[in-house]
Amino acid sequence: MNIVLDVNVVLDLLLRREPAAIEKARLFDRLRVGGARLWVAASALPTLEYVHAAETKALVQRGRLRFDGDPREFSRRQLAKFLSGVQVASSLGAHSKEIPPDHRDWEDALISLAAADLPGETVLWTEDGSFRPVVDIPIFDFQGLGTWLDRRQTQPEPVPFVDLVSQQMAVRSSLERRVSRVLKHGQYIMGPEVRELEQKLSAYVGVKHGIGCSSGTDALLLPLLASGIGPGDAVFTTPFTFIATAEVISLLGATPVFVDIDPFTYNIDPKQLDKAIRAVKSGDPTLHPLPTGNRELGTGNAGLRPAAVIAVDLYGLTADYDALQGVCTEHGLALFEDAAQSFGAEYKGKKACAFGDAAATSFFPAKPLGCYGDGGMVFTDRDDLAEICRSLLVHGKGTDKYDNVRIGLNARLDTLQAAVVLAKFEAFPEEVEKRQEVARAYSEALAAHPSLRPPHVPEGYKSGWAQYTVRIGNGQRAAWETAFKQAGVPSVVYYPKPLHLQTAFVPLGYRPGDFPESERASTEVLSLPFGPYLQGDSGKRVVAAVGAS
Amino acid sequence: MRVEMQVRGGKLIPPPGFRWAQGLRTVEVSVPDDALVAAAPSDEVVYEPADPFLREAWAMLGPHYVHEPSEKSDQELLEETLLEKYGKVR
Repeated sequence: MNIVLDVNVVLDLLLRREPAAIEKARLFDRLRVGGARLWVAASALPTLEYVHAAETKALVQRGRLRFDGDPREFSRRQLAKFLSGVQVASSLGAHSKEIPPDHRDWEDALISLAAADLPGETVLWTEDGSFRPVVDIPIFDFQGLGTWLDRRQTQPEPVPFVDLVSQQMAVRSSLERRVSRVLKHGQYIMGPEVRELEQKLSAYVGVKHGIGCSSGTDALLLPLLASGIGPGDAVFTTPFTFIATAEVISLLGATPVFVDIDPFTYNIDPKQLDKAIRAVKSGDPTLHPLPTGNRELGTGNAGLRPAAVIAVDLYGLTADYDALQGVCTEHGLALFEDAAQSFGAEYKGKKACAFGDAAATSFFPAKPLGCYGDGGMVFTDRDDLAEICRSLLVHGKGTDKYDNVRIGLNARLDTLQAAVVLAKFEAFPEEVEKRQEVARAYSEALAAHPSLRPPHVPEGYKSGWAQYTVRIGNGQRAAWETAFKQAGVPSVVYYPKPLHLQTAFVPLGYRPGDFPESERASTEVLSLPFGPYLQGDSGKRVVAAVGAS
Repeated sequence: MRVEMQVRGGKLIPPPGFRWAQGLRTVEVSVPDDALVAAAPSDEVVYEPADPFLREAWAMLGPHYVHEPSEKSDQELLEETLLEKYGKVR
C-alpha cells in the first residue's frame, strides 16, 4: 500500500501543528508499522521547502523554537531527516500534458499524477479539503484514512505469490536513475551496464567470468554449446525441474539421461548419477533406467558417450556439489550448475553459481534476482569457456561481429535489463537475509502440522529460497490447496509432471515408475507465497492459514 | 456538558472531533504564557513517535517546543516566500 503525503501533512507532522498533532503522528506510526510505503511527490518538494522554512523562521522569531543559527538551516536539516525515511514519487514530463488547461492547482494535479503512477494500491493523505486531483485516486484526511484502514483490515488485499511490487518500491529511485541513464546514453545493446553487472555479479559469486545473456535458458545452452556437446553425447540431469534444463540438451542433439532425485533436497542424487553413468557406459539399462533410443531426437543408448551433468539447484537449494564433482571427475564428465533458482544461495561457504565447469542463472522476474523481462548469466572460472560463450552470444563473432568464426546465437543481455538487475542487486544481499527470516517464520508455523513437511536444508547449506515448498503426503495435497485458497493464500505446484513423462520427451521411451522419487514429489510438493517482502500482514496471513488448516 | 480543553501552542482548544452548537467549530482562549507552564507538556505532547525518522525530527524541536499556529496560512507563507525569491527578478 502506498500513502502519498500532501505538503500540509508533512508540515503538520514535522512541526506538530494542530489540530490533532498527536493523532496524526499516531496514524503515521500505524502506517509505518503496517508496512505502508510512505511517499512525498517530487513536485511538492519546493513548496514543502518554502513553507517549512517560512514557518520555522516565524517560530524562531517568536521564541517558540530555539535554534542558534539561520532558521533555514534548521528547516533544511529537519526536512532532510524526514525525507530520508520516506520515498519521493517522481514527476514525468508527460504529466504536464495530462493537466486540463482550466485546472486551478498544478501542484495538486502533479501530486495526484505522481501518486497514480505508483504500482499497487495508492491513496493520498491531505488535510486540504479542497485538494484538486486530476486523476481518480482515493483521498483522505487523517480521520478518513484511519477509518479506511480499519475497514481495510477486515477486507485485506490478496496475498501475492511473488510480491514484485514491494520489491520495485524498495528500489524504485535507483531503478528510475539507472533506466534514465540508459535512455540518456542510448547504448541499448551491450551498453556499459552489461559489463558493470557482469563484473559485480561475478565478484559476488567469486568466479572470474560473468557473461550476461538473454535468458536463463540461453545461459544453460551457451556453455553446453561452447563445450561441444552434441549428437551422441549423454547429458545427465534431473527429471524434477523446469523443462529448460533438459530442453537445451535435446536442442543440441544430445540425449538427456534422467537421474532421480534425493527425496529430501529434491536435487539430483549423486549415487543414482554414478549408477546412470555406469549404465550408459555399459549400455545396460538394468543398472539404471536409460532412454530406449529415438532416431527422431537423435537419441539412443547404444553408443552414447557420457559427456556432462547438469545439476539443478531446485527451489534455491544447491545440489551436493562435493559428491557430484567427485562422480564427474571419476568418470571424466563436465559438470554444469543450473542455478536459475539459487542465486544468493551457499554451499559449504561458497556461493551458488561457482560450481562445476560453468553455471547458469536466470533473471526471470520472479527469480531471487530478476529483471523486468528475460535475462540470464553464465558464470565460469574457465577462460576458454568464457571466450567461446562471449563469441557465441553474438552470432559466433571473432574479432568483431562481422567476422564470424562459429555458428552462434543472438543471445545478448539487453542494456535496459542489466540496468534493472543492477538496481535490484543493491538490495539483494539484504533480501537474501530477509528470505531466511521469512523461511524461519514459515517453518516455525509448520512445526505444529506434522502432515506438512518443511523444506530440508542440510548442514552447510544456505538456501536462496526461490520457493518455499512443503511436502504433503497421504494424498492430502489437494485438500491443503483448497484450504489455502479459501484463506486467500495462493499456492503453486512446481512441478506437477516430471520431465521423463512430458509429451516432449515421450520419444526417449521412459516410463512411469522409472524415477519414483521424482514422480512422488510431483504429487506431494506445494509452494507457498514467498519473498523477502512477505512480511507484515501478508506473512502473518500465510502463517495463520497454515495454523488454521 | 463537561469538555476537557487541551493546551496547544499557548491556546486552549477543544478536543478533536468536538462540535459546538450553532455552527461554532472551535473556541480558542488565549492565556498568558506563564499560565501554561504547569499545563504543558501534557501527556500527549510527550508522545514519542515509533517511526525513527519522525522521532528524530521531533527531537530536533527540543523538549520545550510547543507549536504556535502561524498568523498566516500555508498559502500566504508560500506567496511571501516566492515574492521574496522572485519579486526582485524583473
